[in-house]
Amino acid sequence: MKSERDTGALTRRELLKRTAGAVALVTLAGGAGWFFHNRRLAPPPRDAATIASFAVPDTRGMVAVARGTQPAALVAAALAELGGIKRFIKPGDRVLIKPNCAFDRPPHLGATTSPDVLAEVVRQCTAAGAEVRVTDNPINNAEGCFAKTGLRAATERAGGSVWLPAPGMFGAARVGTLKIPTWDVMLAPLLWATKLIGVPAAKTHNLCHVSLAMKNWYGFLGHGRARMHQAIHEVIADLATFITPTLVIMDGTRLLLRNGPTGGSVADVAPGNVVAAGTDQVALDALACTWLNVRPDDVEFIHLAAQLKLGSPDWHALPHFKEVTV
Amino acid sequence: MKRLRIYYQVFFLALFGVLMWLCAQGRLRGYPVTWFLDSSSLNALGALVASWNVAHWMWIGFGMLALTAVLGRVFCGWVCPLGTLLHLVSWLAEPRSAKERIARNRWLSAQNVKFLLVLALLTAAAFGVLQAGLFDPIALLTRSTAVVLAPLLGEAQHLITRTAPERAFQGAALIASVFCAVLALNVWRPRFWCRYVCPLGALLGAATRWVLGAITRDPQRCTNCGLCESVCPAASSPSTTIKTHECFVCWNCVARCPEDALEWRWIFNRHKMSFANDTKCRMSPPATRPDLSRRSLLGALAAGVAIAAGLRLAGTTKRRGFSLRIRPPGALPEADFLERCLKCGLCMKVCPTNVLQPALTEAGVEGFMTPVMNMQYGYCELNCTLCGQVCPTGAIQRITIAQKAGHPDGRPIKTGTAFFDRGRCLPWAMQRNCLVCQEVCPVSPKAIYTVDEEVLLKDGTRAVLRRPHVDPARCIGCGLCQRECPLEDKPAIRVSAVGETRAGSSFYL
Repeated sequence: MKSERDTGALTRRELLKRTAGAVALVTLAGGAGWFFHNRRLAPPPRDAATIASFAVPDTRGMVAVARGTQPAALVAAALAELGGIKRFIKPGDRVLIKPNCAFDRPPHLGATTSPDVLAEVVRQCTAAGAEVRVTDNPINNAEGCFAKTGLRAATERAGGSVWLPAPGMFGAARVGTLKIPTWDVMLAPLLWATKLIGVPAAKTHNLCHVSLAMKNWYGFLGHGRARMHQAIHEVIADLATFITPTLVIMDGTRLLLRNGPTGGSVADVAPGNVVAAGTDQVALDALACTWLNVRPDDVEFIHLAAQLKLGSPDWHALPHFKEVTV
Repeated sequence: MKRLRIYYQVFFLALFGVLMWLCAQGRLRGYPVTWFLDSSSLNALGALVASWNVAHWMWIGFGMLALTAVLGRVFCGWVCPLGTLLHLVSWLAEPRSAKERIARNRWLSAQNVKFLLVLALLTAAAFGVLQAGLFDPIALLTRSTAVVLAPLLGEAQHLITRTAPERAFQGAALIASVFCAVLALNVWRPRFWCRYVCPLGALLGAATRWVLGAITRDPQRCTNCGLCESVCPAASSPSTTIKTHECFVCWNCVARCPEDALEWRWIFNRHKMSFANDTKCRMSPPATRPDLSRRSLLGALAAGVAIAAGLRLAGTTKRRGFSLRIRPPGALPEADFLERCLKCGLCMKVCPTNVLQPALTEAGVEGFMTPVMNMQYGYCELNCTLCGQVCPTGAIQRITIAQKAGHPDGRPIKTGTAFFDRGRCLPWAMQRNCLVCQEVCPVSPKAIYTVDEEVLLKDGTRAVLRRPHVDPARCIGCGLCQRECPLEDKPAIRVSAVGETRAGSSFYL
């Protein structure tokens, strides 16, 4: 053996071992090639997630309006008229709050949700034993928006935390039935949450008359949302199909009456001294139209949402409609 | 002392990193993020001779020049963060053999090139063409950090945690290539950049002419073993006549010398110092100025004039300008801007929307790497003036948000004007409603207004469309409309620089 190896000649055993190795290698490489060949010639379609309803059972068709000058007291009064926050939020709930934080503007310009209103909503939820996160995908730079609108400070003061949009949070979801069956949305917070509260600011909007509860969900949309404006009413109805919230708190403490949705001048803003809370986003939108001197009948997306049975624009006729002055 | 020097280097490199990290929206709270740029004498002197102004903290650079005149190039050996990085790479790439190291550390006449470079750059600056920042080590490192290293870290963080915001820069590959080359050349010669290229090092080296203290050699103790040469990163010939204008005062040679023949000492009386045969003073006097011929100096001066004249051959600074040369709000008129801008990229680092980009061709050859707004990357945030807050030289002025919005005269600062491309805009070209631009327009009243028009659709029916128009008297050129236009690759509304406030005149009467 030894002498043979020294001369460099191949032993039978060595020959068999090497042959077996070569065959194994070829089989493995060929098998791998066979296995992967044309396996994903076109990438498989991405799954679109479905976002379940966040509504609490037996709370349909509720709206309560509170009038007065103290934003926090208005929120508290409106929620009390609905039976208190504990009816909607249970200890251990993960509550996602979606204010309107779309623009990099100071709060008094009325383009974004009032920090006082948001703080009270957050405080009520944390007091009910829930973990609260606040998110929005603004038009302007997200960090700047949350800082300059005062919404970050309000959230943190009240015991919640801000969740800024980042690339990894987005994914496809099933949205609506009219124009956008699926879209890229801010998925991670929606999948995280067990309860969802919208806190829109009541504003006029040059394209779709008003920007209220249903339009507020636009802030969940991701890439390519600038296309929405080509059929804005259908898209807003789709957004209302997409999101069934636990609650909506409509901030009418200041009303952006002109130059919406961005505003930019104090001359565009009027004091509203009103907050409405409820579970019917269509009713709340119709109600808030009247604050902005817009006839709900003129707003196409309210009609569309009513046709889709997402709510009732006749807020007066709701089984549970309350008004209170603080 | 050598150990102390290393502590200093680590401290200043870390400080540079921290200041760059702080230079971002939400973290910048009056921290002196410009101090490293200010401490560069080249930036200070270049901006001074170009604009006859010493802005904000730039006087620190003159302090550094004075310090160098006393202690030698301690900035290069102890402070400069780029020098520290290169020192580290050089150390990692060091060959084992002392003989080889000595060969690599031999002084070469090519080291004189940097003195000619700084002379040419300062001459060009004196004619108002400030290109010093392209070669200044601090500006180079700041630019590389802003455009390459910070986005690289962000991208790596994004890959792992999927949370970092996206940041991107045009020409990043170019800046990365230069930076990698500056790092890689250390494998061939330790601190290649510092020895052969660095114009800041050369300027400081020129100041050592009046130096009061330096590392000196005692020729009677010296056995010519050459170990000092094997550790000298500056190639300053410590074993013969020490070239103080090259020496980084890094203490390597002093620490390495087995005979204690090298020591740092005051040399007030160096003109009286003589060679070993003088028993009164045993020290060999160091050389304190580079040996440059009059011909090469005159050549460098001529090159400086040629740079100044040559970069303006196209005539674009003074003439009709570039449509895409959209400067940030607060930027000075173009000629004044170019006399101050160091191309350091700090404004690009701090810009929260990523709209500020290093100019490739947008501002001509002279404006290469200066900041321009590119709305494919971002837009100018209405309530933000961060770029001006961090500009070390005042090329972008420190304006307030109120000034930007038009106080006290009611005229906001315009960076350009938006124009519709009616061949692409949906309500004009495709008979469809859109108006995203109008919705996002941040000024009040909006600079984009609509007119309802009845149009004939392709099936013959009539419909009313809202068609957008720009009011040039209101448009500030922020580019948010362009950024949000659904026609992403080439938006149907685009900003061009015309009508910018800093030009002092407008196309619109």
